Amino acid sequence: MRDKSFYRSIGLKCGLEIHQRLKGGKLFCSCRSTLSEEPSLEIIRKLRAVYGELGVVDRAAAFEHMRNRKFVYKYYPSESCLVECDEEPPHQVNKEALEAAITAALMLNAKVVDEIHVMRKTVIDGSNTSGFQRTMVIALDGYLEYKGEKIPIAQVCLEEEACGILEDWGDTVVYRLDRLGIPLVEVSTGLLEGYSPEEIQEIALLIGVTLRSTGKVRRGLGSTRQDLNVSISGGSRVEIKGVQELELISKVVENEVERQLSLIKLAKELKEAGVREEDFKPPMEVTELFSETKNRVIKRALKSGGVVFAAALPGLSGFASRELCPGLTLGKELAYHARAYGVGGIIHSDEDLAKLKLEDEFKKLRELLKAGSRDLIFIVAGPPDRAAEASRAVVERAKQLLNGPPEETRAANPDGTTRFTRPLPGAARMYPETDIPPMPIPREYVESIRASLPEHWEQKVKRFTEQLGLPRDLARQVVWSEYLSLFEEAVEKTRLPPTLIASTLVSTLKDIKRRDKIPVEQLPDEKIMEALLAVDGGKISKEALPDVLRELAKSPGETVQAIAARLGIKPITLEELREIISSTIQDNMEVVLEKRERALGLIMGRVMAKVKGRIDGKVVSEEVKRKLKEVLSTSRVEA
Amino acid sequence: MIEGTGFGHTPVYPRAEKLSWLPSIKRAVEESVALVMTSQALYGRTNPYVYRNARVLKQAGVVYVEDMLTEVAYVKLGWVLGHTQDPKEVESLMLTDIAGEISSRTLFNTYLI
Ligand SMILES: [Zn+2]
Repeated sequence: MRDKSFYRSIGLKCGLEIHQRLKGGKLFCSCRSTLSEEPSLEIIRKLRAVYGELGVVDRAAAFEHMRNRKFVYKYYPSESCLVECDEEPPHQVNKEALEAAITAALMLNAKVVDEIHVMRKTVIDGSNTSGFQRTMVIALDGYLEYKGEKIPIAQVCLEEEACGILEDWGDTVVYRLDRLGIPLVEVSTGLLEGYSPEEIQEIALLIGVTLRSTGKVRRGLGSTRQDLNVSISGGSRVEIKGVQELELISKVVENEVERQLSLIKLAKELKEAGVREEDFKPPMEVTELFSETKNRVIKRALKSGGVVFAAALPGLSGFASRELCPGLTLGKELAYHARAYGVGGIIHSDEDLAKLKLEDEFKKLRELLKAGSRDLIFIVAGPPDRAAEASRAVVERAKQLLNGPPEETRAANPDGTTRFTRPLPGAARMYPETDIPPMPIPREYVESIRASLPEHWEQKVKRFTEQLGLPRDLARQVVWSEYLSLFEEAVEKTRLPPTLIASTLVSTLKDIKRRDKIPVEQLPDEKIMEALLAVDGGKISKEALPDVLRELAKSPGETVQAIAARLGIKPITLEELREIISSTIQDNMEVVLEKRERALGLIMGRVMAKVKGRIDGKVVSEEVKRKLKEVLSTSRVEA
Repeated sequence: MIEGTGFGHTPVYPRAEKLSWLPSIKRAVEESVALVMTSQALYGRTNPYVYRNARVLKQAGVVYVEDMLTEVAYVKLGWVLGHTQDPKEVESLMLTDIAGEISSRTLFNTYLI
């Protein structure tokens, strides 16, 4: 285990960008943002890099243009309009979202700007139909307290969500337009130095709970997303995009530190072995050599007009299987660079060539490329232009190994590893959105929001404990959970005990997810509320709540009533219960008379089997005891 | 009523007053004449922010009425002026959707109808 002093000693520096979706409609139009529809149409587009206002082509934009991908946009009739299609200028900024962002900024002790300028941030992966993402600085220079220190909050922005990605086939990417334009707050910390990865994760969680305490944010899969900047001494600044869960942050940071350390070490080893930049030769086309190949993948590529490129990487033989960090070998890292150009990957000489049926070809290749035994040989197969670019990218990346980790943008995988996506974009990425005039923010407006700020999360924990009678741990769990605003709403709208509501939201739902593997986080707040109201109205018992929620999560289209009927958990009245108890005692009279008070367990069991989930178990127990006593006292008289 | 081009434009040449509509528009506004902008284009929405000349017109007091059709806007303006002559109220009423004459969203298939 590496401790805090280790991370201090290697000079870990980290910056966090937390993105949180807001409730309400879209940021620049009047579309819904419920993500609940089926698409009705699709639009096909391509992106072309052009010179920017400063007379240069953005490095990342040129890279994307070169990939020449086709973008397909799925259109959703109530959740997208001409604004999302980029066929109509943006409308004025959604006032509700603006107010939510200012609220969040004030909770983060930041200073709200005097005038808001909407900016365009170049986005070249097709995820924004316009080729840019609109963003606006709301506030600057805030802080959060953590372990007695002030964590700097550099800026709070309000921006539009990008399209959701549905499929990526390399040369074609399919996006969903319904997600584009959902308002997001983006909180960027200053540079965090001297913290361990776990502490960085805790800081992210703290920002998350602060945002949720505004009551104006969305929950559920995809509603938060984190980007990280990570660097260490002797390493480089690497931007890691799209960490989906806050709980993954420490692992991603640990892995990135490990990756950079391994690359620093590898650079030293290669230099010591005498490898020089000029030893790297450009790739050659070697399609001919594979005309008789028995390898299926290459055979298929050649059949569809593909070619094979190959190159030798000096001094790298045996290194391709080395792990840079858990789950990421050097071979895989090199393959990511090839894949960025839309080919499947690479095949290299450290792999089991016999199994791949490529032994002969690689032997000949080694001669053809005049490669030594210490050189790693790799091939790339695919369409001519892409295979050429991809193989060149692999050689370039291998050459960079001599200089340690390069600056780049990576994307987070769900397992906490990362993959290369593109070089870091150039600096000239932001320019003004000319379709929306600057918006002055009157001080009185800011002060009116400040005057009615929501409670700080610590106050909430205190209030839930003292006034609602929640155990402290449970109170803290609720406040830190995604269900905070739903909890507050349910406490207000129902007469259910707050402890029941809290444990349903923070533990019952989690149990359902863990035990039954049902994506319960997709269950909308309204459906959970419907179930809680059904308990409150006596339509289902609280015992039946877990079953009902599980079924609801499986089919959110159904009503609670329909599910209760389907499960046969119509609640029973006290009268009905008493009748069931009487008849159960009647049916077991012999045992009752024989065992007397000790028959309680048996009767209770038989009754529960009939009424389970349909009435409160405590009531059943009381009623059975009462009735049994009554029966026994009269039977004694008879005896 | 002005049925402008594109997003709702008229000539506003700053250096060629003879060709510019701006002096007349300003004079009309000064004399409390309500000025409403629609577009000659059959489909789509006016927008006073994308191009400079429309910003100038809006600043001068022209009311841009989203995607209302010219004929509808003309009838509506007559109705509004029958209720109020106050420029602020005229603007607010012209921009309030009363009978489906303004749509908040332009759909992809609007042009296919
Ligand atoms: Zn829209």
